Amino acid sequence: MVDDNTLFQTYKEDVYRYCLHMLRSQTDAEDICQEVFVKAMLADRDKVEHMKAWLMRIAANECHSLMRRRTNGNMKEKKAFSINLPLRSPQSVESAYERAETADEFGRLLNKLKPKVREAMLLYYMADLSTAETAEALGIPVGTAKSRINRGVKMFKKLYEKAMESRGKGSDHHVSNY
Amino acid sequence: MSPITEQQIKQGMSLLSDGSPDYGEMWNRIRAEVERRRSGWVEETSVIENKRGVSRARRWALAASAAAIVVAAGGTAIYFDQQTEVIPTEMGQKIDASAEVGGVELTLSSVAIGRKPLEEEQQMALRLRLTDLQKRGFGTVEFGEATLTDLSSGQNLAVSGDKRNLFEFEEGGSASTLTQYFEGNLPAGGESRQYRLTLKDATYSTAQTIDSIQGDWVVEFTVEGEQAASATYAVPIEEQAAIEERTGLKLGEAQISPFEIRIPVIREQGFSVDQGDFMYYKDSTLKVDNIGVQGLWTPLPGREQAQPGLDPNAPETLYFNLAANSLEDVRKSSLTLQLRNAVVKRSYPDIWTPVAPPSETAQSVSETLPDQSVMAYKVKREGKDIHVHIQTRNDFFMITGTRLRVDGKTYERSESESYSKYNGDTGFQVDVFKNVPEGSEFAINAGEYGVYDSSRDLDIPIQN
Repeated sequence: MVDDNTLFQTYKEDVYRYCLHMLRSQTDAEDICQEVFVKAMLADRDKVEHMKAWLMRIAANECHSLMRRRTNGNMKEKKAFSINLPLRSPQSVESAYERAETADEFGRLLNKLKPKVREAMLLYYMADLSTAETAEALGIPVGTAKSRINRGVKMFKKLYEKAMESRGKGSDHHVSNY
Repeated sequence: MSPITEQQIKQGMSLLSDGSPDYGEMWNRIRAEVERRRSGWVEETSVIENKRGVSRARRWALAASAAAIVVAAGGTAIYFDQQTEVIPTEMGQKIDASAEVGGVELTLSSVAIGRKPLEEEQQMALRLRLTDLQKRGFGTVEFGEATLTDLSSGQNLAVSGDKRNLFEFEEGGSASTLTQYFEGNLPAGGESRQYRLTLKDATYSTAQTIDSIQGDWVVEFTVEGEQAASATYAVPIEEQAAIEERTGLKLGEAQISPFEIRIPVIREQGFSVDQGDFMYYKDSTLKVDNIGVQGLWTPLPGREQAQPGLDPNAPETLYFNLAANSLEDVRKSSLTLQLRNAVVKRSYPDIWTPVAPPSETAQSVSETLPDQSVMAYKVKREGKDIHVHIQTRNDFFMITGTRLRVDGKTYERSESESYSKYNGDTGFQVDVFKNVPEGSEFAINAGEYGVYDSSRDLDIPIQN
């Protein structure tokens, strides 16, 4: 069994980046990442076969839990809170939280995917889990995991192509989101 | 343009930034927390399953300080919770009906009916408790499907909110609670209705494994409409003098339910003080005992566009979502409304700042207004149009556009082409004036702008 420090050093980026791109908040990502490793270090890891998938499962559940607490099923409030700021034009949902650093185009497009699809994409492509490991991490059948990944790829391609097309139309004079 | 490939998607995602967090600090906090949990600390307050009263950030801060106590004392850490924990109590109608399959017991503790946050429609909350009778050491348990059937009509009620039925277990805990919300045709006061709740197929995780239990957990129960709605009541706000004096507002009765507290805002027409027109408070917090719940003020006066998803014609109201802060029954809590940073509208329609005839080279001009606000303009000509760029910041922002006067004639900005950018601390607004002729005397008026006035901050007790 690997020691605690090696566990953290080996998987910290996978876990943290997953949390960051699911929660879109650096503070929340740090909080959840820490909780994942605390739980992992307190658990008996002797019988864990696939360490990364196991860790990512804990991360997925912790993220779900926080996202659930954020909204408590009330998407209207989540959006509305983002507006209660100095007088501006209506803002996007993302501004309700600390401004996460997704400077690149991929990060921005990824944020547009629905959470169930985004989490599958992050685990499969970013954390480099297999389909089976992704399914295990999310507690869903392998077929469902495959379907979400495929759907994510299709949606991502559409979003990317649309983004590239609007870039080609020149500078944006519309009221901005942030 | 060639389409993006899956390989490019994979590569792009593997290069996603992580914002360079301080992993070293994270590791220190993780070790401190692990020590704290391993060292057999004693909690000052009573142990509560599935505690949610303390924010997670606060827990990490307290854990770090408690770990320091361990190091200093060389023994058992005493963990002092500096916030009063809100102990979840039964809300609405007590039920206490259970079903057990494979050593997993599901209990419906209570039911409450009230308005959905921010809406007029009612919802019914089912407070569920899951108990691990065989002490398998659950981390999480998730049911595949939850169905609530009205037995009189045979109709299923829709889930109102998160469709996942995920129970989380605290370290070493054998029980977990979850509140699920349903909407539909709910029993009114004086009415009684029978329901069946069915949850299917538990998938669970422990520290070592993920497994599932097939089966149906079925609970039948009767909802008495009046009892289920009993945790909803109104409290008149007695202390109105201070808020009336500082803002011209009054507050209606606080409407309290297990899910939310709403406080109507009643505005007197034509209120204006020498220093400007009060619009609303930027920050509103409801203190429930020692826990602060951030509020939402909507609709915001003076806004042209509605906040997404909200009714712009709804009466002006302050909303505080209790459920999102893991608070459920506040009947025995003290409630205090804290209002901070009044947003005040200012305008000086007679103050025009002269500028040289604009050219393609931007010229910078500033004007200090009577309230000491500084308008920093940059003006330039773009073909037939004039662009006026105004710097803003977190506590100073534009409400309307600027106005431009050329040789005695006043121009309004183009609403469709003007825009603003704001990053949370600073920003700017660009007002575009279309087809402005050349002239000799140019001047700019600031229009309406907003500033924060903390001299009007207030605390108002609602319930003791």
